[in-house]
Amino acid sequence: MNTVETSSGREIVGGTSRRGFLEGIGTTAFLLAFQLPVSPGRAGEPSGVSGQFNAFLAIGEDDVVTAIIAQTEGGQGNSTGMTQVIAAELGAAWPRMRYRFTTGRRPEYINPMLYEGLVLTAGSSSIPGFYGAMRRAAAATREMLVAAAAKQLGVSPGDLSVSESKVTHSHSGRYLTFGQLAAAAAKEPVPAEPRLRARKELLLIGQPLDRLDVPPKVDGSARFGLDLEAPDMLYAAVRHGPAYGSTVAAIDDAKAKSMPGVRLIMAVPQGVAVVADQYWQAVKALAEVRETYASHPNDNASSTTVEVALRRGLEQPGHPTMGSHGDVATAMKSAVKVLEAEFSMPFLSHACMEPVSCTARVSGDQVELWLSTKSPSLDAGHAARALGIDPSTVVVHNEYQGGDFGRRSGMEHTTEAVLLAKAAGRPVKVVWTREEDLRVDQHRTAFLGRVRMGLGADGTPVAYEAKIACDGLWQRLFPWFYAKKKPVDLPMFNLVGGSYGIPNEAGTYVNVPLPVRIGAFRGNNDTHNGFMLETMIDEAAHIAGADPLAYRRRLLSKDARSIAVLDRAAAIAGWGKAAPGHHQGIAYLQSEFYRCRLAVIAEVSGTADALRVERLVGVCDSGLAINPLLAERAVEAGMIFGLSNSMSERISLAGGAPEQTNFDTYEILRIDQTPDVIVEIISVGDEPGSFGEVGTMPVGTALGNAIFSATGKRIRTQPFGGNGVTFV
Amino acid sequence: MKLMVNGQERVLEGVDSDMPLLWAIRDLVGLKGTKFGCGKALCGACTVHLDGQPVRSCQTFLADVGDGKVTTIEAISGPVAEAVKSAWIKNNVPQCGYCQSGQIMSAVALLESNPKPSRDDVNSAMSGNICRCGTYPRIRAAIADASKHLGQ
Repeated sequence: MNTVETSSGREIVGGTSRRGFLEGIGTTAFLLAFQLPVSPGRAGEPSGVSGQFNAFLAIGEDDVVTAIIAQTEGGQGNSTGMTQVIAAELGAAWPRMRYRFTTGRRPEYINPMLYEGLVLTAGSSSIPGFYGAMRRAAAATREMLVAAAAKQLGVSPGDLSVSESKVTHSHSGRYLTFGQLAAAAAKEPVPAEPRLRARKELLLIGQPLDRLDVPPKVDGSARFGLDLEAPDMLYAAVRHGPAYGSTVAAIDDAKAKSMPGVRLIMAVPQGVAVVADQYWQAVKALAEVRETYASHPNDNASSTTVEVALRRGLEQPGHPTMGSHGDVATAMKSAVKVLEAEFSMPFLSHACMEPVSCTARVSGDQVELWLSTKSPSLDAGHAARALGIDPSTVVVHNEYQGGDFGRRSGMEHTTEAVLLAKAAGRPVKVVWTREEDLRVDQHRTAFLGRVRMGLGADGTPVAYEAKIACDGLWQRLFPWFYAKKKPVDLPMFNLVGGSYGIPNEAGTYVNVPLPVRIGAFRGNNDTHNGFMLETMIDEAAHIAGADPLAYRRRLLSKDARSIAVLDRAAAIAGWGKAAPGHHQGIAYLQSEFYRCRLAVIAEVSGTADALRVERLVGVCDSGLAINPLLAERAVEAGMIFGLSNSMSERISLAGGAPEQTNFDTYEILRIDQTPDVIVEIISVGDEPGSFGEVGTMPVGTALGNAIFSATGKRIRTQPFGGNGVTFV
Repeated sequence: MKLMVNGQERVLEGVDSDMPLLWAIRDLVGLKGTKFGCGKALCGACTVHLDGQPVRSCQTFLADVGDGKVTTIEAISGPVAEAVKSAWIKNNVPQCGYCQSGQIMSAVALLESNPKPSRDDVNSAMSGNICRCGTYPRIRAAIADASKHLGQ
């Protein structure tokens, strides 16, 4: 581990942090529903890839090195970054590098930073999770190439060097290319402990190389899940019941069943589907289907009942969270001033630009799926459970994903596709409309939190107490994992015990089961927990009569890396020197799991009735940046995503159903309200951290603090738009 | 029914004239670069050119197309299109990439009619195209680059 956790001069006790908690789980545990295929040749792994040395790379006779990517590309750039790591350790020429995706469910593809037994892309952890394994695989391959070259050149391996896709004899200048060596090298014994290159030898690490996936995304040739097809397939349109969990009671398909192209009309677990020759025929026929739904407890759910449930939750004792320490009760009594506040956030939808879809072929015990997924393990499991078959027989095909942000683990659409394909006797592609995609999401949990912060005579916090009520991602998405960890769940992490070194802290989490499906969402717990802490720190600074940046600097003074990101952000943003009529707000994020320190400064102008976000500045240190360009863009995009979340996004419920059904009511940031964004990456050390979602976490809070600077209003409910300000 | 797509005449069998152009392009012609995003002309992912003008193909119906010439991302060409695509590559604009076909089709249409757009012009012309990944600053930079290149 790196030194992140020592910033405040206190060590976080091992096992209380999320990274420590998840590490050491081991990958040998066996999941009944999601078991790995017995043979690595099954389940989406094309057999006999030419020149494949191991799970991570292949070398062709044409000198092309192919990085084999089992993490999914949802736009974060991990496919380029992972390819770069392989090339750097191997000594390959960058123009000769390619990558291809695999959905193979091999043990090597299980991210050691995440949940046991799953091939899964999550937690911004593709690079940090596989950095070591990819380097070891590339280093072993390099040593095999060297061994083969030594024999062919009749020289000692120690006199050979590897760079630019060649193995070169330093004294004579003679060389053999990777392509010339690949066949012989593959027969060399695999070194158990290959030597990893020193940092200075990793010439491609730290280079701002262009993304490899840009050309196919510019000429329209990139294939997303919705573009993939099965031979001879039919199309399905589906409509789900109003409330989460609704089931169909009766279907009137008298008119629809005789419409052109219609093949099948049937109930699926939460709704009704029409299968037809063409998708448009299915959509038109579905519009003529009249179905009724059995009554369900969620039918009466509304935003009001959710708020009541969360408010009742806060009256429950709940569970103490990790990071709690000291004696809060005594410290609060001794405090000169105690601040109290309540914070809330609504449900959100991911609203990936690519709506959910799945194509399935079911033929006897042979099942194939084509879809955008972050986890072939989960989708194979969902398909297998629906059909009552062995998940290892399910082959998954996946290329690019049209956004992810936590959304892309199937269930409903995968289940529907296999059930419909089985019933139709032909492959079926299920395509959800935008309306279904927004309404039947795996929503970001709604959230209510209450905090107290006690300030000492010098104005700094002496005690922090935070109690939150929300639903739990692990409980809802990974129930088998939660069963072993409960009551620990993701919302508890980074609630208290953070980087400011407050001497007494107490966190409490109350799980409130909510009436929609809950899933992962870019930023997760760090967004809501950080919203509370960083807003309170801002309030404390104002009460102390201190500049909010100087106040944070003082609390973080023992950690040079924290100070560095704060100072650099301040310099870029011109902190304290905003133009007349412009106002700034700052928020800071420090996360051990993401190895991240990030300072964000938001600048706004105008009044509460017509507020404009003028600029965002972010400075991020997440350890070693493999590709500073990718890192910068990931943080920038994460900030814009978080800005959109905090300005205008909200899923409200009425009659059990989300009220927002398309982009006219679920308002996503558009280009005309997007401010200029400046991001700077500070690359430090030898261990890569995370960039994909960290930008999302503090940006809403920085905006909230800027709104306070501009208007004097302290808004503790997101989205800010409609809760005290109007954006222009 | 006949459809003129990317300079080729396609004969579509068994289709209704109320079928959105989007589904004809994707499912019948088989060109997958044009994307389904919302079905209500709210996001711009399905933008194609009809007789050189940008239209949302999810709300343009075959009956409306008639003998009009449809151009999709796969065949968009000419100096403006090349400048836009080059600028998109140079600026590493895409993230997930799903919306980018529509963004590029809108950007080409903008620069065809307004070779030197102001920032407000760009914001106005591109505000119908959503990018959930948030590549908007890069889109603005790429359009500025393409405009500059075309002015040389």
